[in-house]
Amino acid sequence: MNKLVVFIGLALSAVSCPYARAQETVQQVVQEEVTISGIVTDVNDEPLPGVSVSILNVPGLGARTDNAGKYSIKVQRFQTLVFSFVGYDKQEILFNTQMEINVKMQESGASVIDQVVVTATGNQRRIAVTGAITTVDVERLKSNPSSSMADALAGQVPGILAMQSSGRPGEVSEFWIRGISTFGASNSALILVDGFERDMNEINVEDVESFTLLKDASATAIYGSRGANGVVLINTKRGKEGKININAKVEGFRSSFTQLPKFADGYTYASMANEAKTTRNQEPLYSQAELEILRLGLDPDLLPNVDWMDILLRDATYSNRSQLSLSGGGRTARYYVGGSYHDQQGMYKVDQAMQDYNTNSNYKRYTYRMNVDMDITKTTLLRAGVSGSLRKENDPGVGTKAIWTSLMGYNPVMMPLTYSDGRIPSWTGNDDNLNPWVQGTMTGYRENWDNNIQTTLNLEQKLDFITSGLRFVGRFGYDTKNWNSIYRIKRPETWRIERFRNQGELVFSRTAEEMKMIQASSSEGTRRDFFEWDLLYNSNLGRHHFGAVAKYMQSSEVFTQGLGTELKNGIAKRIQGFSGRVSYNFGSRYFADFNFGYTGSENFHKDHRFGFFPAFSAAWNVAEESFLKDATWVDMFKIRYSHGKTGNDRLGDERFPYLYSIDQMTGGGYQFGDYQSSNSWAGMRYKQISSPDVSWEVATKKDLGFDFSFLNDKISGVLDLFHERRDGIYMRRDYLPTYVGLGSEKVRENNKDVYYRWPKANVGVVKSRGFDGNLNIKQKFNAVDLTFRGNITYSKNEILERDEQNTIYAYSLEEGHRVDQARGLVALGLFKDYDDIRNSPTQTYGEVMPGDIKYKDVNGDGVVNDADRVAIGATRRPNLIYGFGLSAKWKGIDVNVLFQGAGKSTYFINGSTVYMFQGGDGWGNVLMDLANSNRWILGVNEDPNAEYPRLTYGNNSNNNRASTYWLRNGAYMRLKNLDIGYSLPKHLVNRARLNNVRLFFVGTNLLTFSKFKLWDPEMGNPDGKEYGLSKTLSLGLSVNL
Amino acid sequence: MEVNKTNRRCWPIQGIWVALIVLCCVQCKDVGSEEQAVAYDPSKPLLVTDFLPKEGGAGSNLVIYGDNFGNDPSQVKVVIGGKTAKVVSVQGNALYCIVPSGAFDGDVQVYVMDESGEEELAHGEAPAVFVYEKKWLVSDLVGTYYEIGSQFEEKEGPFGDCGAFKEMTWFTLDPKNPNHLYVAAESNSARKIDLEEKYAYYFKTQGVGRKSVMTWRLDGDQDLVTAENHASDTKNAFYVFSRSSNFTSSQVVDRVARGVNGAAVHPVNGEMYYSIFRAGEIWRYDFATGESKLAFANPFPSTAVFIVIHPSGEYAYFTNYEHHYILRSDYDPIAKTFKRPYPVAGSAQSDGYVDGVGTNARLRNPAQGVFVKNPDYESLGGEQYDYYFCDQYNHCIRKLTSLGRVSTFAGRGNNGAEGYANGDLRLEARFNGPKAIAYDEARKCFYIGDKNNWIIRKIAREEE
Repeated sequence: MNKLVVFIGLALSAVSCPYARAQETVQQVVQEEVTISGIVTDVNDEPLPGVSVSILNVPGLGARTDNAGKYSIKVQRFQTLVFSFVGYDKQEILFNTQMEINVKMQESGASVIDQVVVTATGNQRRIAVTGAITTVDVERLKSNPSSSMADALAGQVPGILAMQSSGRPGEVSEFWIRGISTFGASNSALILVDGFERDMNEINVEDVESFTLLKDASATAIYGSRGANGVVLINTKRGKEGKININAKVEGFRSSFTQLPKFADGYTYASMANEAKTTRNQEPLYSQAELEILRLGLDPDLLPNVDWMDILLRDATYSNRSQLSLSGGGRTARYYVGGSYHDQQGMYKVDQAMQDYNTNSNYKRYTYRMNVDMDITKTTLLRAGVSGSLRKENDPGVGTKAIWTSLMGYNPVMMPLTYSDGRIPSWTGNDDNLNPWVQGTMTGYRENWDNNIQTTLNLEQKLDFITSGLRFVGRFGYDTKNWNSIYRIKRPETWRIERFRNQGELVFSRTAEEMKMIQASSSEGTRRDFFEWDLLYNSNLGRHHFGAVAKYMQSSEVFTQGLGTELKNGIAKRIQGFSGRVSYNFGSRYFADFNFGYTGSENFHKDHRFGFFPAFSAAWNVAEESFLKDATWVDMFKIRYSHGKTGNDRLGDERFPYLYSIDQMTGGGYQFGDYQSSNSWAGMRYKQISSPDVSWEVATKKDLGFDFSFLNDKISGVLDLFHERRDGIYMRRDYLPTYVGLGSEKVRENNKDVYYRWPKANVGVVKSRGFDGNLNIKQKFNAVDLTFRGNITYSKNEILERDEQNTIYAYSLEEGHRVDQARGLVALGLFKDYDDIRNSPTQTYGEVMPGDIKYKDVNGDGVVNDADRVAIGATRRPNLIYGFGLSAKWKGIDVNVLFQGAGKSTYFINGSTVYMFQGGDGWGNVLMDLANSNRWILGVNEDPNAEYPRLTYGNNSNNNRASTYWLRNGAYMRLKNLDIGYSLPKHLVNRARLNNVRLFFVGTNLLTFSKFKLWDPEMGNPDGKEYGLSKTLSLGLSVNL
Repeated sequence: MEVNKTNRRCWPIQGIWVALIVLCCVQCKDVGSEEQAVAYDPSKPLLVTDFLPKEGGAGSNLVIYGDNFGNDPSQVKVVIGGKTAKVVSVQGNALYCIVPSGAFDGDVQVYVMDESGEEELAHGEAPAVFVYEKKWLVSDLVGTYYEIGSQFEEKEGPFGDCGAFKEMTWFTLDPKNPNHLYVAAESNSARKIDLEEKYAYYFKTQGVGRKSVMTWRLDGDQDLVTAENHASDTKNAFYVFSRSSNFTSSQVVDRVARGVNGAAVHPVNGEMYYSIFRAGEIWRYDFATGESKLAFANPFPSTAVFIVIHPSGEYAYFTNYEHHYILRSDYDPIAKTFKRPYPVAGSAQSDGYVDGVGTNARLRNPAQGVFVKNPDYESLGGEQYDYYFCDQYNHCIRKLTSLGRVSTFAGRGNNGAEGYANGDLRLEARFNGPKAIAYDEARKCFYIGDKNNWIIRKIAREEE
């Protein structure tokens, strides 16, 4: 696609300019139209049907070749005929006098040399790139059924580590460029859409022209600020000169859960509850008669057997999306107009009797985009873009989180769906304790609306009259964003019954009274504006190529709604910067590049406001050297190196750490009154201490990269090794000695910890290292085109410094370990017998019995306590992501398979789902896995290596704590995408006046391979209390005309 | 019919569109239905083959196996030992019923009735006999259980229609008329329960605020003494309601005391001991002389201390409510006062629920207790009494033997085990914050002030 853009550009300048003058002179002479005809063939002289034939700069549909490849069209002299066809290079032929024009179309097999890459300072030839830049093939992102491109990135894009932790409609994957290299407030990448910081999730993937990842300092230094965590550049489609091009696509999805926790039935639950009691020498919870009543289903009120998951969750849900875009234009103006609708339905069943509103969780997104390019003069190009989106999320009244808490907490015996007299059961009156069916259908609904409009203006002026190759670009952007949340919630009267019948009658108590529907709403809004100008210069002197860019940027974001009463919320967040870049290359062989960003953020005191972020990079294209130039098997071999700095000014929600605030002391005070009269004054003190020296978090990045392409592009790929050191990570100084006298105080306010008089500083240091790369192999077997694609990203970080408590046990420091390193005790299996307990170090987490978890006394002090907690496993977020796939093409059929995997991810499982009977009150369920696994059973299976310890009814503080026993390996590999398409034969399609019709089937997350079986391993979820990920089957149709 | 040419050409595409649209519109099915058992079939015999469990007492769950029971509980009658059992559910070859009280004979009869429920259609008898045990059972004495708390009423009335009993803190039986149970209930009206008439009266205590405890004078008419738990350092705390006025007129005792939670009269010498919350002190008051002096200081200040004196007067239990333990103090017959106390059950450091000996046991807010003579001890000589007390937030009644062993007498025990159920003491019965207790010597039963269920419960042994 990129190639096409350049080609058109080149063609325009090459073809139209010289003939423009010629046309003027002969215009009057030749006005009459003649009909010409010809045959269009491919290189093998096979006729090509459906080729579009149009006249340059003349509106209208033009003509098409028929099955025999023939066409005829009316044309005037000195007009240019344009032949274009998908998958072939465009050809332009000037009509003079010849009455027959036969054309041979060349298949467009863009070679790597010609590829164009979108960079921070405009387009660049791939060969000239010296930084670590990944261009993503947008086509690859399109088959993902998610509403957001973010979900399609893992395994497709080298350099990205991603995970999706919830599958609720509207929830999207988190991703990190080259992993996490800070424990500071922000570790997410900067996303620029058409040059400005915008939300990626509101973009319809069909509107995307290019998707580029900037990974190292040389590529991002120019963003100075905010570039530290990497940058994503997304450019949207623009119109192209030529006849109107219409694209339409509809898809229907069938989604189901990939893997949900499976729970035991009521009888098994009750038997195991009894086991949990008796194995600890307590009376069984259920008498024999009760077990029998349960088994026979004789008491559906007191001893029911309910499968709550089945009651609330559907087997599958159906969603759809569709999109339409039109583009085209003439010489002076070009347009692209696109719109899309995406409807993603949730998995909750609804009460069919209730038609007033929808309680199912769902997500709807409407987007539109209009991009217009206007040539105001020959050298002035104005680009205007307006786009917007409306996103609506629906959820049951209590919200999805509460529902999943209940789904995991309600066991089959706990309560019936309704009591036999029609009353509605619920554990307590709390939202996340209501029974799941009530939560899903009887609590009303909540809606969130997200409404955004973006405007982009872009003025490009060629300044060739000053010096050739000089260009000015001015950009202006203005975005508004509104977020509204409306709750319409209610609750039925709910009941609970006593554990036993009283003389055969149920004893009810009310857990909550009825709440009629009430409404609550809140809103938030922001306004953003951006202003930038660039001065670009390019010059070629023989084999010397120079390039230079100077750039100024400023942006501000201000709240327009929901500011609250705090004055500082009304102050815009502003950033200002100046950056530049100088590049030089000699004969496309040696490349050098220097760039810098000088950026200021109002988050910092004026003495520390601006940060300077330089970077240099160099590349050597070995293939251009004389000793390789004649080697036909090498198309490209380039070695790159870059070294530079970028910054990060994001401090989370916090602003102006360099300011202090003062408030009145609460309580106490000084009495200035006379005897029996009061005149008391409270003292004043610092509320917030100023930290005036706080400044930028600085990343120093090094990158060594190799780009290669061999055997006529059959084998190509990229490999990058990177190293990053993040200095000055902003954090609170938690361990200043008290004698400093700050009176630091932690206060709980509105369920949040608030830190008063706690200074902050740039004290953390994190190092991260890793590699990423990809490999493509293309091969043609007869009529089958095969492409193998593989990519991998690995990143490992280590905290070098942070503010933490000193300790005699170095292993308990975070220093020297990964960011968010999992920590816990080392389990040595289960206690074999009482002798084993007596002969082992004393465990300080309550009394232990045989079958309880035995821990390692790491520091050898004879006692197992929190000082024995060590780093175990890795981190919840994967440190390794890979993907590989194969595409094949044969005639009209194309097949694409993508496997994606993650590694170096470990997490603890815990909570009521895993620590079964933890509550000791009947809340919580028993996993099928526990019921069927090799668990420790007194007198039956006293295996010290059993998968689950001796059961306990109630919390067992020895067993139920983070240790290697509960640490799970989150590594997985999945068949992420299977995409099968069939393009209808040309002759059929063309008869319907269409260009291309493709029917396709896409399967997502069809298979998952992992050691972790309880629920979807990708979610990294400890307790299963989260909406699961989806397995999706979709059928779709795309039409191009 | 002539079909348009263009349409024909395009049909596959249109078909796909239609298919996709249909696909998008498909919706999901709803919740599945339950399986139904078959109705009684008159052409087949009614069979009773077995039941489970084989033994039990009143209120036990009983599953009866057989065949052709039908599916309607209202058309099935189960008679055990001549008493009709409540049938909860019936399902073809099994049914679930509740063992009725007094089913001593234990024969199990099952009848299928006609639709009116009057005429027997079929009959079957179990081959074995249910072994019926007599046992201690918890039941309701008086008070209404409210499913919706806010709908409660407080009123006088016969048993069965006298509303809720809120805030019960102390029970005492009139020593001269054991048919009258007096209930102290803080700021709520005190009550007089007539156990013979089965009627609940208000016991009007004009001008007395929070009534924390009631006790009886030993001398004279054995008048009723009510303590007022107030927060004033200048206010008298005790009121004597005279028997001669039928407890309608009261006389204030000239004794200032603040925060009185416990008070008891010595059964031999007649002086009164009372506890003071803030200072945590136990005072001795002599009705005859009007003299008041400190008996001893409780180990902890700011705690409610309930006092129960042994019927012999030789010792007393001082229960530290907020410190979860019980102290014992022995009586000095020469100085005629209680001596420095020592702990006998529970730990002042921690609450919990553990049965065990002495300070190894754990309690959670122990409240009123009562000494009950245990006939088993008679042959052993020496101490003859067990001490039963309410362990309020373990929601149970516990027993402390003279040797210091704590066990659970009724209720499930433990924090969070509250509830409301009658039946077997440990297996089924549940209380919700029981606080007051009395033992009725004449009827050989306990009355429990089930504070948060607002009901007076009764614990009695089943009689034939």
